[in-house]
Amino acid sequence: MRKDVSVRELPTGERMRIVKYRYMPVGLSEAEVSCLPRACIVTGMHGDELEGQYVLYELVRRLRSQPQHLAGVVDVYPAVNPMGIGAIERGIPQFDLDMDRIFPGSHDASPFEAMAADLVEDVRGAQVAFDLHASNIYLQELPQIRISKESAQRLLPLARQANVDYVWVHESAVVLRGTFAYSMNCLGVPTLVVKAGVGMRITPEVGEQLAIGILSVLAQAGVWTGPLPLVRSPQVGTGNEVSYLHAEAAGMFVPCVPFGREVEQGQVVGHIYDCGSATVLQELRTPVRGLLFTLREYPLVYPGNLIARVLGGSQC
Amino acid sequence: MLDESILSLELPYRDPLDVRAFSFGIDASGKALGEGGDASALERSLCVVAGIRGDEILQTLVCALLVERLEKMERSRTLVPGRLIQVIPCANPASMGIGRRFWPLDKTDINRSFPGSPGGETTQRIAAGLFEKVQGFVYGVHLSSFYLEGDFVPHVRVMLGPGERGNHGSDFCLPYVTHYEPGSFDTTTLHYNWRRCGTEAYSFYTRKTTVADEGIARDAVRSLLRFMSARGLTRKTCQGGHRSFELAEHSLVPVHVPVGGVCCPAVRVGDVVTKGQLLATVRDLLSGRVTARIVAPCDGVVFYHARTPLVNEQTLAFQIVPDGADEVSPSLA
Ligand SMILES: [Zn+2]
Repeated sequence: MRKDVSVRELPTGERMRIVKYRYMPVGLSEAEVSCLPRACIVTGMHGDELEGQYVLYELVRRLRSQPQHLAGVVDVYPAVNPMGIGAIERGIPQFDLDMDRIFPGSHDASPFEAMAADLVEDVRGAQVAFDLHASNIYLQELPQIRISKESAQRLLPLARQANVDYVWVHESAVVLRGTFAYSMNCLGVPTLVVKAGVGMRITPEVGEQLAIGILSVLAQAGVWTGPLPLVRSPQVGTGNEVSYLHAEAAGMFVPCVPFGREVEQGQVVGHIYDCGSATVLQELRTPVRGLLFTLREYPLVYPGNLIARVLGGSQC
Repeated sequence: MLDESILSLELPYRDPLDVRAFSFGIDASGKALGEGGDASALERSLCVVAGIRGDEILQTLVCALLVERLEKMERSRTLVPGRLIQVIPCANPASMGIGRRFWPLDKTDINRSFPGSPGGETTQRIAAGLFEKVQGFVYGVHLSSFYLEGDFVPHVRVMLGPGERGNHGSDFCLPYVTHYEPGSFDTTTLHYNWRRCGTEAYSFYTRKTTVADEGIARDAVRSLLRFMSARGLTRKTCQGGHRSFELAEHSLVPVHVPVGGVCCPAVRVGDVVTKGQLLATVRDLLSGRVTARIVAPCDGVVFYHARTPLVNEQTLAFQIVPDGADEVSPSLA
């Protein structure tokens, strides 16, 4: 069942909508399911991040093929920034602020902030929620969940079930208070932020991996009773064990290691070239041994751009 | 006048980013900075920054005209000795040069990157480099623009905390000084980080942003000169100006558009309106049929007006300063 969660009219008369699809146990009415546990899966907050689309496809395909195993309600919101998706823009067209910085929203300012408030209202009361992000178009990321220290106690047990490679427990920066996840967690809805893959692409393996992870969390929340494949147990860390590699030159970055594998300390990750003169401007080596879980995807780099993150290695 | 490069960064297939700062002052021996005066002996009194976003053209023009003016004042010794005034007209020439509001590569907003980090992402590095050079001033003025496109009655915004609580916003002699509570997305602005580090910061909003209107720019320069004169940085008074009305931003009355369409305004910013007066007509974009008449919800003055001719349902079309709005005390306590 498809439903509009929030609608605002554009100047041309077109309607900008946040829609959701609802899946619920067979034979029950809307009223009858209102007391059942509910899970909400949100994606498309950043219009150029599409990995969540295929996660939804893989998830909903499984829900629909075995409807007898649904014991609660699953609401999926495939495009909470519909105009951004259509325009291949991270943000909301005609609007300066990142959508994931304006929560819990407001009815006093722009229509976009009002739609954010409508979304919060709709998700409120769920047993669990996911906000699915790809990485941006610049970096490729292994599937990971980011949670703040304050919410770790509540979220970590769920995050461990989500079939991701890494759970990053971070110090909460003040700016993150504007995120959807922060607002929902404050309202008592345990909300996991997943980041995986790369912007403007769909990576089928990511979709399958995360669909299984979400199902396993749904099972824990009492929404799904179907069979579950084994989920991987993620590395959990506070970010202290993450080493960063930045560009120090302006040019074209070309990697020379496979992504998502273990790397040795001092291994060459790639080079920054000045192509017109065939000059190597910088050779980038891993600072530590460990898992290469972030790697630059977009070749053009400015000084400072992130090239790679390595997890878990100690400097030996 | 000292003209120096305060920040440079290599850019791919472009000339390096080069951010310039102009400094003015007269040292104890009466020597101007432009004549070999000693800048390090001066109190860092005022820093004015513009062009952090590449479309803040009017703001950059204000600074440029201020530079021109201060150079003359330095020569004629109308600056108070011992005070350093620094002006950075365009903090982000890499974006302004190609007509972009945000950072060319990843569209990040440098005014959402403070205090920055010297070893971080590109815009973090730029913010950090910039912040280092604008720190330690008694007063800081950021000529900024709002996240919603529109025209304003000229005003300064003063943030309620953190850090420094001083407020001499009325010394700009603009029609309004507004006070606001920072939201979570304000914590990475220059204003917030100035205040956090003890600089008495102001965000200065001119009537427009993306135009080169010399008349508006000259008015803004005069307002900055009034502030400098009142704060004891210059010896020259600057005639005219307003007695500022100080109000909390939340007391502005928002007026939204009930439907999408083309919005034809009947008033301009600064106009005095009475309750029920027509502010704008919204027409259906295709049929021309009037779909909404937006009227003033109260008596007052039009403070903000959205610049976009096409509006969405619930676009914030106007903000009104209502008659009888509480005038707040300049003290930020
Ligand atoms: Zn995202």
